[in-house]
Amino acid sequence: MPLIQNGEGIRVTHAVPSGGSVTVNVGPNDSTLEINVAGSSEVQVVEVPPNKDAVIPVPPVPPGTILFITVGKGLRARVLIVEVIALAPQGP
Amino acid sequence: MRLSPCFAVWLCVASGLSAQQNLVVPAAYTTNDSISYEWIAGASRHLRQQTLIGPSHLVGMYGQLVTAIELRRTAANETYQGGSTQWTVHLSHAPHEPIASSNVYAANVGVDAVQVFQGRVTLPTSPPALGPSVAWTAENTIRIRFDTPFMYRGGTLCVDVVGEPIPGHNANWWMADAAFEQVAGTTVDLGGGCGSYGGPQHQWANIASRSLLPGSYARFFAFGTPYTTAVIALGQRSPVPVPLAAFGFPSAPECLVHLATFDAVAFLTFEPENMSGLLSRGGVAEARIKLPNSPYVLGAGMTTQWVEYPTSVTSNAIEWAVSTAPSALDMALLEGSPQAATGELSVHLAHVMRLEFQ
Repeated sequence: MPLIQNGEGIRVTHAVPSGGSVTVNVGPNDSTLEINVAGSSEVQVVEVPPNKDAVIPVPPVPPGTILFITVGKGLRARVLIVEVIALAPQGP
Repeated sequence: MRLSPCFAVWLCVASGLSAQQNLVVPAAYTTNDSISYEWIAGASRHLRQQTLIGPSHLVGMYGQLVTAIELRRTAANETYQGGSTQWTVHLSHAPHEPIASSNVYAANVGVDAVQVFQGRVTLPTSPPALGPSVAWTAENTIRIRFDTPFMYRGGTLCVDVVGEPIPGHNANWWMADAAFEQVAGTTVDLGGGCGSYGGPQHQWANIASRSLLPGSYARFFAFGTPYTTAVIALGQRSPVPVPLAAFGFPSAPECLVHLATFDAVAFLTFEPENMSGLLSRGGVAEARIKLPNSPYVLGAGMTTQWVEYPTSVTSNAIEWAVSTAPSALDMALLEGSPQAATGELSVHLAHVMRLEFQ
């Protein structure tokens, strides 16, 4: 699946599965990243592990929902916008 | 004694060849990839990266001229597309060891700072490198040969890089190898939050456990109503939480205070990010506390809780403790916007760097 990065120093797949998980690659030296569902006041904070590949749980929100993934604050803020898609049906 | 011209030329060439040396910091990653990675200043964004290297890594370089630095790509099963960037590099002897670094760039720069390089830097297109060994080949390496060599006289070396992107030449994902010390503090969420933020559990306060290290800046942050006052309080944990209303504030009964003492209080503002989509999460308030590099802070802890004013709502309280061991990296990385006076300091994470000297 193609990755979005936009030169922000962080990257993630274009679309993320509802209720699944997705890996965010984090280039800067920030130790946390924040995930926020568009329109929601809830912010999920995830620690960046030593290999800088943070696995984040995707909330069970309807497909088409937009997520904001943020690293840093102010002039250092890096933001990616991703769309949640339906989780592919699992085999038996 | 008179030397023949031919012998003198041979002697100069021979001594020049033999004197060129390399040193990788940290030495453990001279040939093998480290677990972490870091982005490159100016590869895609304006970025300042200041690396402080302790003398324990620089044994053998004392009294030598540093002539070049190199960064090596991190191991990954992907091709890094190349590009170029504009760098300005200053070297100096920092006034303190890496673990005593400031998050203010100017405070880490020595009085003998010298601009050693300014110009275009090439990020080569680099084929997949699976590791664990990654060679310092031209296609794996960003090399900066200095215009002005720098004499290393001992102590902490400060390598200060400002990178500016060159339009049309971005390398959007070119990650350099980085060393990472796996130390962190601990946090325990005590609850007690109320109000509109932080979801159903009202968890709108956080602490970055990786920032709870001696020498680091402990990072406390919270989300709340933009432009209201964010009051952060640090103290000892109360065995029994008390409603905020008991202190005379007009608040709901579920707003609980978990502090028995108020040892430090600071008043901040919930500042929204400059992006409309992020307004729903509220503004962000962030407090930083420099943790001294002292054995006394190892394992020490407190409890932190925020109050949003004038709405009189409490955050979740968090009991936290500093790591029980310091980072032994003896390097530090301060990075952020070149327009800012301060950046994000890590004393547990820094680029793997090869220094060339003679």
